[in-house]
Amino acid sequence: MTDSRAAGDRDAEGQGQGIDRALVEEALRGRLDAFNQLVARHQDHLFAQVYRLVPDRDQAADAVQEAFFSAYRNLESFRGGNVRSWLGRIAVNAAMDMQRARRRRPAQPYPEFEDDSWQPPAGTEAEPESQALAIERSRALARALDSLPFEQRNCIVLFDVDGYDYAEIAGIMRVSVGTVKSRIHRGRLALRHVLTPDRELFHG
Amino acid sequence: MPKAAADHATHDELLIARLYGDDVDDRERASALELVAGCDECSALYADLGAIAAATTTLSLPSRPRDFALTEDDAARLRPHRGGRARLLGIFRRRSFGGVLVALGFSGLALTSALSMLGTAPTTMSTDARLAAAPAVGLASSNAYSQGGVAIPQPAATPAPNKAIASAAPAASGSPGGEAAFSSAAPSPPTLGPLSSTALDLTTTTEAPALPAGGAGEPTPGAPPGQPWTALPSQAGPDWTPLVLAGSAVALVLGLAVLLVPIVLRRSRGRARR
Repeated sequence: MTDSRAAGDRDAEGQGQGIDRALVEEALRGRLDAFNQLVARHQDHLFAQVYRLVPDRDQAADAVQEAFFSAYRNLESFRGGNVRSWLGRIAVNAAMDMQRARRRRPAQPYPEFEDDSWQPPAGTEAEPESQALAIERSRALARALDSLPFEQRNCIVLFDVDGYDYAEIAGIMRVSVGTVKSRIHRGRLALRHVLTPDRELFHG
Repeated sequence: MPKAAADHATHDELLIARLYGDDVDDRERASALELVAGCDECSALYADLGAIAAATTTLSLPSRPRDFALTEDDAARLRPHRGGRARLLGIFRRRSFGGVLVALGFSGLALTSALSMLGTAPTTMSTDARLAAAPAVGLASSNAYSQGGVAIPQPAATPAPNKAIASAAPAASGSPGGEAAFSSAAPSPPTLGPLSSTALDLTTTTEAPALPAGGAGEPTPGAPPGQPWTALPSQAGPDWTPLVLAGSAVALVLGLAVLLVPIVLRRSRGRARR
């Protein structure tokens, strides 16, 4: 049962990659609507990815827009492979540029979590109590993540949230795989230290 | 039996984190598992790392604030149809082009410096020697001709300050008349200027035929009889060193500009944005 589901996921992913590559080829022939279909397919994922690295909504949006501009400008440099990863790398680089700028001028981290209108996505935790717990956990985790050195935070987000492997992160951040691993381990220890007062949120 | 928390201070927490990340070898794994099994704090740490990582993977998906589709204007701005001129300009703006220019500039400068250090001194000496030898040989030969072609060995009249004169004197034919001529030439100061001017004066007035080979003042083979000796220095060819130096300097400056100007512009733009 699980195997057939995994195989189905792989098929869907393969189909998605085929569509992406076809859209890239069409875009290379000058069709803007093909590129905008790529944007439509990946903008949610890319914004979420960048927003976790640059916890300022406007800056994250600017970084994603810049990433799509860069992708369009450099379409010829796409050498095949996974379009999603390629776009992800461009977006992460844009986010890292933003982050460096942000380090010099800190902004309010994760304003959405301070906003009452923000709601977590509806899911299995639909009960009000579970929902409240999820909100609290997300807030605590977001604050803890934001307190980490940005190199450690990048590695943890890319690995734990976005699902990149060590080698991919090393390529994106231009450091060795050993450095990536070390940053992830130390970042997790630092997260745990910061979240010690909120431990019950994570074991509830 | 779990150990007291007081012992935990000596335990390697990073090893526990590495165990969670499956980044340990067999020996380290055994040590880490022993810690997790034997220490309450290490065990709690291991459990917390798992819980936090699980919560991180389920971080909510933030909603995007706008659509990121490109407009026609964006597309035109980002990928304008580039003509030949624009493409050429693009090549000149590339960083690799800047690198090539810098490399060329450095190479040119290094080459000219090395050549000038290795080759300039001997070249100058030989030119000076030729210049200096020219009047002496010319005089001696003219005297020899005036004596009816009889070559009389001529000792060096004075300790010549210039080696060329000293070496040319015994080789060339001389006479008492020639001695007089030498005495007028030898006292000249050992600087190039007066000797050269003497050479100029003398060679322009002396119609000397081509001398047999072997002398310091040997004319160029094939030179027509009566060829003025002043023609010799000019046969060394034009000196390209200043031209190469200037070209290298220009290439270096251009290359540095191509490499550095975009960085400076980017920084100033970033500063302005902030």
